[in-house]
Amino acid sequence: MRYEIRIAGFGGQGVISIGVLLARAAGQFGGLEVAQTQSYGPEARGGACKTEIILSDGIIDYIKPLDLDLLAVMSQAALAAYAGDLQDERGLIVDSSLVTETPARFTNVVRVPATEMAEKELKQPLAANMVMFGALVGIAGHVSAEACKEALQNSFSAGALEKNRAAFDLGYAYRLSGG
Amino acid sequence: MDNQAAQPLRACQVLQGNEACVEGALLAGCRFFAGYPITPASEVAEAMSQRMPEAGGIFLQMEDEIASINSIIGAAWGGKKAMTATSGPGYSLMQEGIGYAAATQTPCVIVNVMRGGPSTGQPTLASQQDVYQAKYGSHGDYEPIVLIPSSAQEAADMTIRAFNLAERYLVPVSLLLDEIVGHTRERVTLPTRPELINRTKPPAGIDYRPFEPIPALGGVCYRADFGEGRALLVDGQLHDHMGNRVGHKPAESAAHVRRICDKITQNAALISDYSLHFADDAEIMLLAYGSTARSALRAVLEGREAGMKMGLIRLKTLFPFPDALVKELGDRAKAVFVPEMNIGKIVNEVRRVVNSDVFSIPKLGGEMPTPAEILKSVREVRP
Repeated sequence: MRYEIRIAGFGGQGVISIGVLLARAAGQFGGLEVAQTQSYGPEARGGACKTEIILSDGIIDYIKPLDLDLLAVMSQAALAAYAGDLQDERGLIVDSSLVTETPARFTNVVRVPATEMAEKELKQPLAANMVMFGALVGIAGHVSAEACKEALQNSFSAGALEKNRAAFDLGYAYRLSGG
Repeated sequence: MDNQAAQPLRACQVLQGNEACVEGALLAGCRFFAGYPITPASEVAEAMSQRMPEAGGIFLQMEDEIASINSIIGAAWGGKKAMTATSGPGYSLMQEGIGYAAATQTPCVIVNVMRGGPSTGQPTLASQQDVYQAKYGSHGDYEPIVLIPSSAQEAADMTIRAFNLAERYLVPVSLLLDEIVGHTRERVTLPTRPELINRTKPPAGIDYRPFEPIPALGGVCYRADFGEGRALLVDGQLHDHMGNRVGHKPAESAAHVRRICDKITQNAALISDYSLHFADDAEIMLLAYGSTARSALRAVLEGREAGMKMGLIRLKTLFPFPDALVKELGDRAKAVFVPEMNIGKIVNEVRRVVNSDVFSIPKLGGEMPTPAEILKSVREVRP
């Protein structure tokens, strides 16, 4: 098994954090090999930024995507910048609060209003990335919600943990409910 | 508080290569770090600033890289295992100190997380452009040891080995990460009790001559540290067994240079390390190192699927270069290809020893070559 994920948005949304948490969940608590890379440097601040995660049940040789399985985007600009190598039938998850147009060629689009859900249901607009994290894990599989929660617990202070876990649950449930 | 055991955070963790390097250093017994933060090596200093005090060691942010290298040399003579970390421009500044460490036979570890150069170059992107600087960067004749990991796991393991080699051979050891190895997060399992080598103390009662090569140590000296009651004269000018200057005496000067080079070259087989992948029957041999070796391995697998008899020599030490191994496997192949993130450097070492056709696959710009790019270059020559 080799499963390739890219998460993209604009700097400050916390897309890199999703990548780091997913990597920890898979590698530390999920029993998988993992390689997580990210756009790094000036371009990651404010502009479009991305993180890429390779999951595997065996040794990972090449650490970047060869044939992307899943793309999650949290901005229209990131979709324009980072969807070029995604094949038509592969999974595309968009934060539909921010990404209103998706190219017609994509046949497997999941729309998650992550930013709106974080604002309205949690009163925590900054937690949109964790809503996206939950939805993404539900769609991607390979990593359990339990492993993700262990990674959350391992990464946040007690005060921040509850909000982030609630946001994760919201995204995960949204996907399971067929949203 | 001194030298207390560094407690690993967790047996299996997801770490960046830079972070894994820090954990490796602590496990190796490093208790002194001095450095100046620089992209893409800053996470080493950042993690050290937190983890070193936890281990009872000293973390110093110095005013620059010249001070950094000199302070770790001083710490090493004070009895510590010491390390610094930097990237290209800082590595250039450290070269004088590295030469001083070579001349004075000072064990220390220098981490260079390679960015693109020359000069300020590409702070946020990767390269393998400093591989010759690691060998030849300081003036004069000396033989450094240069290790190059391909993964976060190896960043931890090879940092431990770097300290062991520094202590065993009393030599500065460079550990070359590149931005990709330094920043990629991967699963790392830290050894609970790694095998450690420490500098060999002079036995009690001997007529101690601090720079006298000891045959039983493979031509390496006994090492007393400052504060242990031995008379020590440490000088960058060429010196005799007692440390007295002999720079004006041709024969004795030559003998000093021979001593510091021979202890490495004559033990090269013990120092060199590599891994072989599908090398036994390979007609098309790749030779790669660092993050590029990950692409090369994938290219070999894809090439094999397409019926090409490809193999890979992955270097874990660049210097001393494993001449005999590369010659044997290279000559057995029809052609050797060397992908590297520079204009074509280690390919020259391969050409020096191999009689088969040798081709360079250089990649500039800051990104690692893809497996497809490597295969394309191979097919252009050997369809």
